[in-house]
Amino acid sequence: MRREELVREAVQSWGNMDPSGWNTGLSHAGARIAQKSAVEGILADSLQRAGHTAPETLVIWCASNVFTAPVEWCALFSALGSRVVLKAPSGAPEAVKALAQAFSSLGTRAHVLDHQEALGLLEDADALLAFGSDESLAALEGALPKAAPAGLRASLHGHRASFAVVSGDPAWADALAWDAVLHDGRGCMSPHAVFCLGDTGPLSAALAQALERLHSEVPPGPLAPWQGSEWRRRCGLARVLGSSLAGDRWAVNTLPPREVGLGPLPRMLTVHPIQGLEALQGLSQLPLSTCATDLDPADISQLGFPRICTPGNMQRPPLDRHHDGVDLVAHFSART
Amino acid sequence: MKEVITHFLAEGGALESMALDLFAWQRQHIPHYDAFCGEAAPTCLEEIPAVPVALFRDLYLCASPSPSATFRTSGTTSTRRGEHHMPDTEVYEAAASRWFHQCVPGAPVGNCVSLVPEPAVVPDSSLGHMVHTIFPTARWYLDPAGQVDVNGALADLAACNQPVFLASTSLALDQLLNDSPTLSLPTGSVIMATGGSKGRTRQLNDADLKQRVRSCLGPAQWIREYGMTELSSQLWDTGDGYRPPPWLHVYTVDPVAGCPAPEGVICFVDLANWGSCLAVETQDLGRVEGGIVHLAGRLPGAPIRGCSLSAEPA
Repeated sequence: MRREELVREAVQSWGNMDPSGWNTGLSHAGARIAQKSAVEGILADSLQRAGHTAPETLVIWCASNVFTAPVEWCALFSALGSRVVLKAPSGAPEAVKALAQAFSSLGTRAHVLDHQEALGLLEDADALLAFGSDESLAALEGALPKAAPAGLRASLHGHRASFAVVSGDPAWADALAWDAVLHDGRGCMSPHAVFCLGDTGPLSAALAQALERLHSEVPPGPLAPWQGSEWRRRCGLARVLGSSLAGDRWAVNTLPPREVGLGPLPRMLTVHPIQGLEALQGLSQLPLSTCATDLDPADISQLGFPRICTPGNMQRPPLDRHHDGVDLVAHFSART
Repeated sequence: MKEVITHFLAEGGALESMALDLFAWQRQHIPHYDAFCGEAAPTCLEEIPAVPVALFRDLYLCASPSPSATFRTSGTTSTRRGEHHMPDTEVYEAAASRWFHQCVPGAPVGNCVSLVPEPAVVPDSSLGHMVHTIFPTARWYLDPAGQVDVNGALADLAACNQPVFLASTSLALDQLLNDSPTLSLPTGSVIMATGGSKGRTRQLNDADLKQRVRSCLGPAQWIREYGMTELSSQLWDTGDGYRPPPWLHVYTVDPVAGCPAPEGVICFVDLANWGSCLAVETQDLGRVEGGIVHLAGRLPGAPIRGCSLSAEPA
């Protein structure tokens, strides 16, 4: 059987697993839908890359916040011939262990180790793909000169922020709400905020309807205690400085653009009215990931986002993208 | 309204009806609080919309456009500090003084060594203002950078031949005792600690600190204060938990749902906050039993804050 077919089987096998007990932070239904979405995205894309030689051994340093994040890279590099070694987050290792189980026929292994012990995984690695908090990645980067073999190619991906920049057409509300709901605001591809040209009223009302409907279709995961407190703060702030539409575990808050900078909360969308794209020049100071827009992508490209897509596709990046601006296959491969 | 509240502090009364009256008054006079409350129509204390303390960074919660005092949070993890504006400080001072004297009768108020910020130097410290209110002749040994003048404070304490009140944060006490001095404070002395050491260079255990104090300064009375910039009232613990004054209602809410629960996030309805915002939701966890408040730390993930931040180890 060709290696790519084995990989596709492994992806499908992972997609059939029950995520209960994986500590995804999502509801069971939410985890199932995120799992299905990830599988469909990978299987819809080609796993071939001409002109590159994959690293022999790739270590993927996994984070705990988005359980689907390592799957696409595990699939792609396995298909290209790499042996993938997964470093599972010690706080939530089960999803990564399940991934290794699904890919076991391809030699994939998962290790649940603390940071210091996990550095030992790099001894035999050719490449390192790491996800995590800025703090943990800074510690990892600092340890690389001693822990990693000479010539190790590394790509480290810390905190990133994604936004939607839209015309205000309420027809996009369902798609925008889906981007916010799919991982409950987790991860760098979830929208931190929606910037809306002109009147926010129709869009906010449509977003509220969409979140209300999705609440039953994709029940939210549990809130952390601090998120409950922060939820009340943000809704209160919006009631005073803008407006707030809120229901059972969802909210659409409208706030002046100066209040941007809040991280996403599960099922809370913050809409900021703007008069023009020039108001967003300051965004380039942030570590950006994805912009969803119904405007001309050429106009959005000046804002500095590595990736631009239409609403509804923020969480479904194509496999051949430059992740955070990096062509990972080229970065890890020696050209032939 | 100020006169009504002042009278309540002195004479007592029905807290719930007074609080509901004050709530209605504040909605009329504090536009941001009115907008925050939205459609709320409370019928009891725990239905009065409580403002999360973090919103004191963002909103103007004062009945006067020209407050006579503004107290600010220590602010280490946020770029913006919380601000508690007051039309004037008379009710604050009456509340602080009245409840302290009821909780710690006979305290040596005329002989105080203070390791908290001096109001003349740090006028936006509510803790400093409270200590100055209760101990107007206090001698101050904390510089604006949060460093204790250890030699000066120890020399002052050593020279005391009458009972002394040592007002301090936990971190400042830790600094004072760093070199394990050996003194024996006069009988009748009282040592007050407030604030924790969350996230700072050293993590302090209250029992350990109390033991070190006993070892270094002798068997003085040990009391703890619980207050915050956003409140005008304080709670005192003289050994059996924090006691709130009769004009302060304390309850707890479920951290996620925000509804009353046997334990959870501590909320206050403080009549002494007559000119700002009477209902406040903290980021502290605890429970209330028999009117006594028992603290259980900070809400996990909540920003670090507190009075001890004014005394930071170098």
